[in-house]
Amino acid sequence: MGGLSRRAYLIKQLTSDKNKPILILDAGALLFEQPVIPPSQFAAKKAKAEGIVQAMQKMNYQAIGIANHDLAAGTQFLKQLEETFHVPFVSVNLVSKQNSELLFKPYLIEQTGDLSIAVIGLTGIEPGTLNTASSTDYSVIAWQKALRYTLDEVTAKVDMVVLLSSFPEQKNKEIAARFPGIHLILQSGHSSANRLPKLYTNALVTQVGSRGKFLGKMAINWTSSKKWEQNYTAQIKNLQASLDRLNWLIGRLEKRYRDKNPTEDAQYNKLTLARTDITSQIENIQKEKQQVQKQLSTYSDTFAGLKISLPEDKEVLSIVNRTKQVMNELGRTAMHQLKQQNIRQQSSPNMAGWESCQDCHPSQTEFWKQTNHANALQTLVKVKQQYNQDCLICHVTLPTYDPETVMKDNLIAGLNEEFHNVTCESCHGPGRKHAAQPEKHKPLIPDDKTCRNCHTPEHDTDFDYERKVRVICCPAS
Amino acid sequence: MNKKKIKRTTTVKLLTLFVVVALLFLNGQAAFAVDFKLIFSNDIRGEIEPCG
Repeated sequence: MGGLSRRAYLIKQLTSDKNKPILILDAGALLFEQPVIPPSQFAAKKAKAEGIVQAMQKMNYQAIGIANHDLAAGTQFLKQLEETFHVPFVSVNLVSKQNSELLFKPYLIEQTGDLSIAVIGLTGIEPGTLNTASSTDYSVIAWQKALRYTLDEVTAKVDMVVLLSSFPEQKNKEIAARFPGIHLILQSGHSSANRLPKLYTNALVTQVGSRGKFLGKMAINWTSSKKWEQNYTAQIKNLQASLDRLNWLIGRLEKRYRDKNPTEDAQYNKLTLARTDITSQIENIQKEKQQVQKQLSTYSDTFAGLKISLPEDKEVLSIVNRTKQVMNELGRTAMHQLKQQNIRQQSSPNMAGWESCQDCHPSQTEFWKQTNHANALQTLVKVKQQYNQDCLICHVTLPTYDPETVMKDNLIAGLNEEFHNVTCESCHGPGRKHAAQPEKHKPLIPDDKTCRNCHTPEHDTDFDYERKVRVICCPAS
Repeated sequence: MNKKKIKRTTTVKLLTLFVVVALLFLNGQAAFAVDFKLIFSNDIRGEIEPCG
């Protein structure tokens, strides 16, 4: 699932109904996978970031938050993107190191139908925690101070306040408690799964799962009460849970005192008093809710999956394809430079290379040479993506297929040729120890999970482990 | 005397009318209920096409 072109198609479908006004926002962690980019990938990652921003502009995003990861190429790069593609980055707490001025607009006010909505960006970094090379051009103001000033400025001017925050949920809960004038917090950076809206004080907090596989949608009816109906529902639910527990405890005591008068027990009296109190609280809240029912704000929400079966928007698809070509060219330049500098990557001290396997497993190696795995790199050459490190990860042999480790440890750049293509160690794990002491260190037996590191539904719509393993499995010794 | 009384009565009536109209106007302005759609995303993290 996923992809910018499918996202663009879905957004176009959702915005085709002109009856309701629409607001389109991104909470950040948009551009880069990691907060630090290895030097050999810098140019290609920046090119990809440009492509993403260009695509987001086509999708008419009205505000985009800035998370820690987005700063991997520095704030000047973001400002260039902002200027070139007119994308609305917002952050209330990123300031210039030179003059302490805000680097980006702290908020935007969007007119959505008859509503005016302030969208504030909050970068999820605490002052004093910066430790990356790219932090040389910016520093961070404490969120408490930054939000207080901004909310003082905007609250009277707008009907609703939305915060794009890349702080974790616990911090957003604290922010909602301190600033009840915030009504909705769109979160980024701290969950791989979709998070349903949850009410903290007066703010709903929600986020979409990571890696762009879903799109969040809410249909909101926002009223002059500036409160969510859920305020009351949540309160009643909590009190009801307490009431249920009290009833259970009281029931237990009444059973124990079957023939006696339980009112002589101090604990019993305490519990019944508490029950009366909570019952009264529930009644009061229900009365209050009935009085203001029509005035409370409501919403419904869904997460739309960007399935492979969705059509792709042609304009954004062309941006994606162009970006991939540029990334490939930049990847080629980077690898050529590494070769010239004679920098050969030791992909891992535990890797042996397929030629070492050949000595003891000649028939298996000959079998492997006839399979598609032995020509995995050629499939990238055909589509001119053989230098794109995002694709290479599954077309070469690595000690791990965890994309974060591959990126962080820069495992692909300058990879020795014997690790090009999907070779023995892709399936059987690093083999140096086995080559040195075959009986003591046995190779891994691959399973369904091993294959699905790369044979994902997005790249292999037809993958059936039982069928395919019979085709690819080397003959026994 | 009559003229003064009439003038005062008229002024009071006009003021009352003004206050009532203002209250109605303000009351009408304060209350609102607007439907809108919010589309949102986060953590795309550089994925331009599905990578699994």
